[in-house]
Amino acid sequence: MIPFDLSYHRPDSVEEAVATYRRLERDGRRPLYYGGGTEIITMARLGQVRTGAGVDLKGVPECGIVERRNGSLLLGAGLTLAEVCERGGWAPLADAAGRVADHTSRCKITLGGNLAGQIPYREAVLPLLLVDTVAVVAGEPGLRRERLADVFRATLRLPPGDFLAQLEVPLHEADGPHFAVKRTRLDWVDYPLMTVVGVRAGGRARIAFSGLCGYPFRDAAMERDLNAGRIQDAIGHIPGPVADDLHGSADYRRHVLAGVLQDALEVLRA
Amino acid sequence: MRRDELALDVNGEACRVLARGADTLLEVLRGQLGLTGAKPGCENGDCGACTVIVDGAPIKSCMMLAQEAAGRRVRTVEGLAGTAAQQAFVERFAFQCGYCTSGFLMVAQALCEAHPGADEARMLEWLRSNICRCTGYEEIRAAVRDAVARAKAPAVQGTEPVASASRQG
Repeated sequence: MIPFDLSYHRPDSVEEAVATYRRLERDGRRPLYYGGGTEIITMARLGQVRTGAGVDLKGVPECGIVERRNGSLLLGAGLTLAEVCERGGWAPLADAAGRVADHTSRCKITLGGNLAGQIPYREAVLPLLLVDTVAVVAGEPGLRRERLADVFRATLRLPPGDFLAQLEVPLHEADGPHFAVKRTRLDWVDYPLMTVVGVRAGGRARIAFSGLCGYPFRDAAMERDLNAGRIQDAIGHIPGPVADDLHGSADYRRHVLAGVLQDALEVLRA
Repeated sequence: MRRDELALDVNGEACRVLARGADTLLEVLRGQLGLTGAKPGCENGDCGACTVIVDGAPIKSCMMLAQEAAGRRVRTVEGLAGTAAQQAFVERFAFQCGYCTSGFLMVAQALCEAHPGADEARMLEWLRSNICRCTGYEEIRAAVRDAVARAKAPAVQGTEPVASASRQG
């Protein structure tokens, strides 16, 4: 049971969503935008988040779109991960999103919720970081376009009251095979020891990681080493402290990563 | 504590309940409508014992606010009477203590309707959403295999396909 009251709001346009959020914020209700809600419900029940209002974005039409436009794929941030897998039309994203949680949970977790969540893995962002994805952000003046790489740095960083409405993926950039692997400690359904997603673009491998550090990342120095076949050098360039927790020690993660990168390069350089 | 009236469509019946904004669908189904087939297990989205079907998709009802369900079609295990999935679970003895059974049944039913004749990989992927603490997985898988095979099979005279049968409940 969630041990406090919250009001539920379901706007049906971008403008109404932003206005509702701002009104609730002015009223001191500490609103949260609500996608699938799995993380909000879980954390609220445990007392780890407290909000007076949820603004559900599932009724905003722009958030439910799946559309191909001029070689790009436009995905609404309100699509569930199951919909992204079934209808999304981009294999690297389907493979990464398809290993988040379990199937039933993926029928509720949204693409935007996965990127904006507090749980650090956010695996759905990995393929999106490998191409020059555009984030369509909703705010007071309406929708605006920003590079995902500018608004997603370890976490999604948007001004209060703004929300991620859509993602525009330039499919033509990734022109070769792709690679997506999630390693867990034991069970198929678990948080990742690591998730590694790669694409080939312009003859070079691009690779992004989750579970390795406390945030998902893509790193230029690691990619340089990997494209030169220097796996151990790439591991030496991991850009932050390697996670050392119940899922696996830092040394074990580095050991597993070496094998995963070997597999990745075999696929991406084939 | 403020409660608002909420209109829900559960197992094809229009229902009115009084719910807090923070009440989960699981709490309302059990506490307000007396539909106790959806079980509270972990209440953390892990075990799947509370699974229901919402607009055709399996959903863990502990992870959905009751307010989110307004305007959507909710089905619980009480609405599955006479389905091939239910029959297959009986024939295969796909339960021990039975606490997880309704959740597994709802996943099986949703799978039969969304992907009749689903292959083994898809079936296993869907079933990974649920946990059986008695570890009766082999019987459960056998039952779901039977159910999805029947869902694909053309209706024999005098019987109905799973998807149609499921709407009788």
